[in-house]
Amino acid sequence: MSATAETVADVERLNEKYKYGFVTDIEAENAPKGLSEDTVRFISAKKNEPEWLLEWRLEAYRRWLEMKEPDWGKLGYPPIDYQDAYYYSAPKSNENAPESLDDVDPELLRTYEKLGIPLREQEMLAGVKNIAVDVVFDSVSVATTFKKKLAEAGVIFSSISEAIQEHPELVRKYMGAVVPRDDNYFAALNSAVFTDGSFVYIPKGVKCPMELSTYFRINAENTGQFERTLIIAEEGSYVSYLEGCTAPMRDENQLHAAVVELVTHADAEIKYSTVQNWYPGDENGVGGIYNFVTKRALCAGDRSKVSWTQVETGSAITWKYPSCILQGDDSQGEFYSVAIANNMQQADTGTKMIHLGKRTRSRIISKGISAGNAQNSYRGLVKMLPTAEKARNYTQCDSLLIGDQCGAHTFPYIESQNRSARVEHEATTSKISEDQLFYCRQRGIGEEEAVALVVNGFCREVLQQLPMEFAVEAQKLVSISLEGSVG
Amino acid sequence: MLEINNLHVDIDGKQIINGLTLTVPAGEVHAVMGPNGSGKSTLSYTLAGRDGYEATDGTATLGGADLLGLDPEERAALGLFLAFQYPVEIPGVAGMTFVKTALNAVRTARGEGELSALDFLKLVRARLKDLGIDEAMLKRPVNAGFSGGEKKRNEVLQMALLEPKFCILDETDSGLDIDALKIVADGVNKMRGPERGMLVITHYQRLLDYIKPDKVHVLAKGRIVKTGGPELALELEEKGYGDVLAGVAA
Amino acid sequence: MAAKEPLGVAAFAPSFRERSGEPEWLSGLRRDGFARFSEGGLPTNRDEAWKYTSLRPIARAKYEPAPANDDAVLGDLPGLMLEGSARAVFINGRLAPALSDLEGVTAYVLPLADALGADWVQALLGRQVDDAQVMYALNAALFDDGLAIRVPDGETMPRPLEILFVAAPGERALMWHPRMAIDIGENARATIIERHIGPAKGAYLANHGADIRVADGAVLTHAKAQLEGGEGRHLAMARVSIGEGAIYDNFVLTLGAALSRNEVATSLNGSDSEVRLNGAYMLNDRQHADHSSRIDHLAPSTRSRQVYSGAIGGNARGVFQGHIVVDQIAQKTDGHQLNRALLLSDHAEIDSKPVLEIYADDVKCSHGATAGDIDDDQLFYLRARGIPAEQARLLVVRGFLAAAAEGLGDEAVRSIMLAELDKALGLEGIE
Repeated sequence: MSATAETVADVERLNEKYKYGFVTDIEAENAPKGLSEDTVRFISAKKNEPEWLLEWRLEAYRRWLEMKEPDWGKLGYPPIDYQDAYYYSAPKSNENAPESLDDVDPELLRTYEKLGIPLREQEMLAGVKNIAVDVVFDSVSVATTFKKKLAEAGVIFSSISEAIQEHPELVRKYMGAVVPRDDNYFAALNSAVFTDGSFVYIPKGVKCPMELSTYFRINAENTGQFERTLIIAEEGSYVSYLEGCTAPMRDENQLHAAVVELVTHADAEIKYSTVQNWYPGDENGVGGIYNFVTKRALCAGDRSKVSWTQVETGSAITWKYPSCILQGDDSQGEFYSVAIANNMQQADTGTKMIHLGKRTRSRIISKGISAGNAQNSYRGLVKMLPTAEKARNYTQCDSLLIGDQCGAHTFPYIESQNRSARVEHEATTSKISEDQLFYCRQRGIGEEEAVALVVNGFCREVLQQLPMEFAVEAQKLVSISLEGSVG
Repeated sequence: MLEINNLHVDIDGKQIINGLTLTVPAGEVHAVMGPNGSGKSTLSYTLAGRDGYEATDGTATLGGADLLGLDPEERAALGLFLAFQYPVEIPGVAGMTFVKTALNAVRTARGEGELSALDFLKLVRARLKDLGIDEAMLKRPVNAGFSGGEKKRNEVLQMALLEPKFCILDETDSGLDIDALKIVADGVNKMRGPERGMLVITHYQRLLDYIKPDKVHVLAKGRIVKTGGPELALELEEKGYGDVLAGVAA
Repeated sequence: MAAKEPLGVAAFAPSFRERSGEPEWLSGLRRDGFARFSEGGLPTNRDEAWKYTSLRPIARAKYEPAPANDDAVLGDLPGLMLEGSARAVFINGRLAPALSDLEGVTAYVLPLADALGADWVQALLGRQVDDAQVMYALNAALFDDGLAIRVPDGETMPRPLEILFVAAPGERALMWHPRMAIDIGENARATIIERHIGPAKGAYLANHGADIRVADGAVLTHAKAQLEGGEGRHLAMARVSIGEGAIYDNFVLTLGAALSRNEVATSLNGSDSEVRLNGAYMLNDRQHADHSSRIDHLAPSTRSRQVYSGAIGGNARGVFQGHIVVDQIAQKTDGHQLNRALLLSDHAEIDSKPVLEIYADDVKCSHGATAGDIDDDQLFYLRARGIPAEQARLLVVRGFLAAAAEGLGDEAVRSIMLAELDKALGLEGIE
């Protein structure tokens, strides 16, 4: 094979592995490079924000300047130069927000088709899918589908920029209520420079008529993405929300620092599912997304419930702990997680369950898979405060190792200050079973497929929490993520 | 069909199979009997290609194709099926997914192409019916929490679905009560045919009451030391291995 | 802004002095130890290794080094725990030869000061100290006394050795920092039992350090009953290296002290070696007890077992930190750790941090942690059989705690430890 042909084949092979690695050729408008009060003012002005929000951002920025980047995660990466990135990138053709999908740049629509996300409502109506989608491209929300149908039910589903304009009282009341703007280094950064994200409001007693979904896509070069999502479920309401993430393959690392805040009032429930497939970098650890995310739910009302499900296969670095503050009596928190780290990926992820209310319950099921040279850590906190009478927690945390160059680590913190509360934690770490692999192969199943099958079985308890369409996609993703991990 | 010639196998530096020669023609069922530690399980694992069970000398071919250089799945695609003594539990993987994946992999390797979802379901239902197995078994994760009898029936079901050319039954009777044994043996007998060979590996004669072999071989110290008809199994049952082996030149 | 002085350095600095007549390596060790302590000062919650146990109160306590024993006021010494043992008695951290009975083991057990010339002592004491082992570094800087225990290759120490540490604090708050060097040679065997006792009143700090080597094929049973006085603070760190096929069998019973930390750091250096770290603790009032362990699996086919059970009442707080590290070459590691805690009052607290850090793939590792009140079903079962509620509770607690001793291999040692537990529960003679 000639050198050129080989390169072509290599490129094709790479593309096979990370099929979302294309770049869309769209003219973008950027903020000046770097981070300063001026950047913050630029973003706020671009988005035509009210004065209070600009002040809120600036205060976050000032707090951020005083804070130290956290170093307690089991993660190693070169220092991030926060001045060497763009904090705002909007597709130029989208400068005047589209009135309808017809106004959306056709190039963008094609991008989403490649990603398998049809935005055209008629297409979606024709198919079996009944999912409303908000799409965030680089920093800006470009389309939200099914708005009308949702509005009939009283559901607000829009970009957060739009919500700031249309529903300032709601945004002002809840933004920062769960994740204070100076909660941590990355949350403060996000609070200063967030550019868009999704906003969901489910009124009292409403069961959202369809799944809501946001797709996040980083496209532009040297761009950080800082989206913010806020979901409020009023008394007795229900919503299932999905997010998906992809990014092009680029040699340099890109920063993603999101904040997600959920609030459930009495008897409300939010089911939040994530399939995170940001570009993980290549086999040698070149490129990939640095993913530093703060996700937290406040189960404010009695009998309310939040369930986090995440399938984390992407990113070079993952730092993420979707958490629940169980404040209402009888409220419930759940965390179901699959984290796969292959090649040079590093993941440090887990959850915090803070029990305040009486008879609050939490359940943590974490499945970590390490392959290649990856390091994969579970880090979690279960805390029973003195008020958490008869609260319950159950944690099961399993790690699977594929190959002898990777690591799997478990860092649970379990703190109980209530005698009637019960905490149970179990964790196991083991190698992928040779008996199982041999059994599959004796039945004719190839080695990689056997690994995928066994790993999918290992993750099943988590995957079955996902809505059907996502579950199928996630299973495939699990297989793809582990390609090249054996042999 | 299956031809093993002068096979030698070391496990962790210790010689377990020591010059074993054996031929099973198509259409015949042969039994290999032997005391504990004679190398019975090593023989089945070596033929199926388990890691760590590599031949140091000799050959093994199936229908003329060399087995020993192949990966386990390639041997399976050639038509070799091993019914495990201890079928492995695979938590979280539904039986249906498992047999579908296996069947499609084997069919693809044989150039037959994958079955459509509908054809697959038809085939599975037909086989389930033949064997009198409830479909519920395939909805559960593979072997997970199965009783001994359920596990062995699952093995026979997979055998019936994959339609191998040659079956090795490794101590299929272990852990079965007499009723379960009859059901499993009945399933195996349905698989007998002029194109298919079988090697039944067992410690006890009991299984051979239900699966009648054409020939019986006695395995000791890694070699076949005696070959005879079905009556040899009865002799072993009656006199024990000690007597029979004593009569064999060392 | 002027750099703030690390916590407690000023309080301990006056105790640190150059000692004449000691070998140069030891002077160096002491200087290094104090330098290391001075760098970070007393650990607080900010140090990950001390997240749940802050030594801030120690900085304020103004402990003075205990003087020689002449004026210590002693009551009668308690009897032996294990019949037939030899006994070394320490008063306020100093060996009291007149009270000790080392007959038959004098060849194995020496005052540390008499063994400082031995290469093996230098080798053991001179081992690298981790950053988090601050109090151990302080022990190196300040120790006045200790024992050098050595069992040559192939031998068995003729009698078990009991080391009785008696605290006899006076008016002023006192401190001592005894150090043990223990070397169990190839295929050798020994049993060492520590007992720590102190009066209900009187403040003191006992900061123990032990350097232990269990050579290839050797077995060391090392048990400890900690019944320090109510105002005592007890810190103990044992660092243990374990050779091929060797077993280190450790058990701790924690009942006393206002504040205690029992830390064991072991390295499984040889293949097929095994470590067992088990413990039971019962806390009341404002007691704070921390059990921390670290196990480094550094060779293939090594095994570790840990079970810690605690019953926490009053305003007490229990802490468990277990850290298993499996090195890349330590294939076929089998490691298990479990921490179970009963919370017996509304103000009791348990904090657990069972960490697994694994770099080899062919391993079986697991941990578990539970916290909660007494099992009502068990309680009901006993009461339905006619046992009064309070007695039933004690029995359930006893059963819960005693389970931690199951991993202790030596039956005689196990039974004396359980007897000590039963005494504390008021259930003497139950077994």
